[in-house]
Amino acid sequence: MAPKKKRGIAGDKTICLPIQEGINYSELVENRDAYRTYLNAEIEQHPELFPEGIEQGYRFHGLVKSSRQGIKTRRIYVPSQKAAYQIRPDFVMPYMSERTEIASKTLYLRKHGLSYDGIAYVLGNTEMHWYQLCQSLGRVSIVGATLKRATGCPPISMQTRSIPDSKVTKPT
Amino acid sequence: MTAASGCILGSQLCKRVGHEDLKSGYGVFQAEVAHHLPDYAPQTVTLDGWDATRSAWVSLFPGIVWILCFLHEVIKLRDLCRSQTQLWKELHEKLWHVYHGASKGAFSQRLRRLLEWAKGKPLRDSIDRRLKRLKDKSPLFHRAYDFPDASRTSNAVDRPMNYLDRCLFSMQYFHGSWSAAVRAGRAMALLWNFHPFCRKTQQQTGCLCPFEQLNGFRYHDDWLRNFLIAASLNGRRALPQRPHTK
Repeated sequence: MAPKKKRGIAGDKTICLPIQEGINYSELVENRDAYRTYLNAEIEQHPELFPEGIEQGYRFHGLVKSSRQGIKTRRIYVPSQKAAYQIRPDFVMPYMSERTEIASKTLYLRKHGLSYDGIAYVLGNTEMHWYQLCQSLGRVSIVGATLKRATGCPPISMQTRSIPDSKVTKPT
Repeated sequence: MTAASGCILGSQLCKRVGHEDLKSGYGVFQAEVAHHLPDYAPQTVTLDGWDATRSAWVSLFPGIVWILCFLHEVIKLRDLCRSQTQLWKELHEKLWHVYHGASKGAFSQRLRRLLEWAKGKPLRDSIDRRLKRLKDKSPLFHRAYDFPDASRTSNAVDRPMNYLDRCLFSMQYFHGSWSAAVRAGRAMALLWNFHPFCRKTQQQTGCLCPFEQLNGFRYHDDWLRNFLIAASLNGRRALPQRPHTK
């Protein structure tokens, strides 16, 4: 029996698709050809957001409807990676847990140090809901999400120079 | 924590502040950056002088030059001069005058003048010792002159550390498991990198968030959508070799 494949980190196979102003997502996702055209344009414009090898081709791999948000998302299969990816529009949070209009307020309050209990008081829902929403962000690679342009980063534009400042992490 | 250009690039909890623990902590940053930018080789790092931090960085990035943070020395002296306001006023001015020396020679000369000035003053032993130590540490400050673009103080990391301190204090630090605490710390770091600036700063700089300051572009005008797009594939795709097309 083949060994069980190790489970990856949640979100590693989810592409976040930028949805431009004026695009009706629910119509776009239903129209396969229009969706492919839109996706190709985004791949051309932002290759760093898509898996390696997607330029060599991909095929659609199903349509999933979220019971939480009621929106449809497409899945694609990238033969060069032998992997399927979910394509989530940029106006919903990972796991379709919340829409960004509400989540941005939550995270803004959180950034200013408001407790989850306080956020639940202001925005409704339970504190555990908001806790999980904030915690889910911690899965993301900090360097990967923050550095998007090797030439745009001052340390690296100086030919492999970086000037990070460091400090001992405070023991708690 | 590791920071550069206004963004937090590494955040990890360590159980102790010894070499091994700090090495594994900073190793997370090293692993992420090695995956994202395989050609990356940092040339300098500005540190607060903690030995284990220095040795961790040197073992993770062989050949890296470490620079001692001048601000930490100023802060230590300020703490010693708390009850002597007038003395601190004079000393503060002289210390920053030394810092602003345009070359290694100017730095050393100004430091000598400062020590001569200190000789004629009735200083407490602790202050006197601290000032004399500046002379011993002088070669560590000199290193920055070989790298004009290197940070000479750890301000870049102190600013986000202030924010993390306040957040952690307000939530009374961590409550769950170790992995939950690590994830919470990372989430805070990412929120810092993508949080929207206040309107005044946005008008002055034309930038939405630290991410835009670092990269020179944004994916979306809404800060959270900008973050979600940047975090596509959890940010685990290595940067393409060809430049960004936008």
